[in-house]
Amino acid sequence: MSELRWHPILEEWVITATHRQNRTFLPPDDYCPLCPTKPGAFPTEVPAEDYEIVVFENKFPSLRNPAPKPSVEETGLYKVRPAQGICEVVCYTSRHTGTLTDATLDEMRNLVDVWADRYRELGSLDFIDYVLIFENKGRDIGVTLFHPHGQIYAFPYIPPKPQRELESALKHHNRTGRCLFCDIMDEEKRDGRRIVAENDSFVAAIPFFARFPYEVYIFSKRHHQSMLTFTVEERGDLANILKVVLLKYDNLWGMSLPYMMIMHQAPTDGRDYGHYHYHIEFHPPNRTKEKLKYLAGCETGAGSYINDTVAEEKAAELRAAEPSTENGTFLRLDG
Amino acid sequence: MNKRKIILDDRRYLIFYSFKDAGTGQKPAPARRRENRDAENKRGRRKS
Repeated sequence: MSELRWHPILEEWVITATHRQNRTFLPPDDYCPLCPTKPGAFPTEVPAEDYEIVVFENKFPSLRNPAPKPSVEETGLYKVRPAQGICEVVCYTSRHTGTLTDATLDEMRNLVDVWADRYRELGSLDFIDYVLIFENKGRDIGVTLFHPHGQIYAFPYIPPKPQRELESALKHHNRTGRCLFCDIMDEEKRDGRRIVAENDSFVAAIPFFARFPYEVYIFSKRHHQSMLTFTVEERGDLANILKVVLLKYDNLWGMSLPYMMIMHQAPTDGRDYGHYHYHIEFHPPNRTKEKLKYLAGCETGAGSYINDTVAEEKAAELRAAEPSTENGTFLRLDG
Repeated sequence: MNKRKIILDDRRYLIFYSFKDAGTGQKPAPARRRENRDAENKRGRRKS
């Protein structure tokens, strides 16, 4: 069963997807469904002996096209809609072990091209209003497959968090005539203490308002709404700063840091979102090497986050982590 | 970047993205027209 159920109190859609209870859960390495299919071995999701990057429709999708008829009738209070959309899996590499941090700069650059292509193609579908590119990494985030991969959800509506960002960005623009995200970036650069890394086209910072201790935002310096207007150089610079941030995360405590990586771009519903600004958010759950930040009563019940740290101190830790940006945050990796 | 889309047994699609020999993503230089090529051959290629 899969459908959209309206939450009349919060005024947002909830996706039910009961079939996902049966999805593959931490299979042994020999039975990884995201590996290439080797001769004589069991058939994986990818019918090829090798690949560079593959994208395929999720076998256990939350949203699908065509969507099944909802299992319940709606009422005046409880609206129901088909869970129409597309859920894709993006396999970053055919190598089973490792993480996105291990990608070479060329591989990272290729992934940027794939992300842009998926945003363009999925966003062009008439029933898709929003394309969310993201990665859940690590057992602590709840991943069910360890093969390096990300996901893309193409929604038939604008989800609540991007919707809230769009509204606050529009309010700020109407009030000041400026972009909210450009102003945030300017304020972070003016202060400097929360900047983690920087290159010609992007700034990475733990912003003033961070809710998680190591919550890094990557902002494009130019006012883009999506990757589609990036220049070739900007795509390369995005690959570069992603690699820098990921290396810093893993070198912070000498362990592969779990995170949620989320890319926020303009909706694809055909409206003008010139007031919005492209960015990537990282939400690592760790507050120390051994301790996690849980979304407990206050966060889940009140929607109010308690951050046990301050961004200025945590950004200094990330600047010091290799590759160090401690003596100036401008860093460009080569090769 | 090259794309190859296939349909799996259960009707889902899968796309292979490949980059080897696909260049840097920049537009390739336009092919020289035959008449320009012939003219260059007559006067000899210029060094860049």
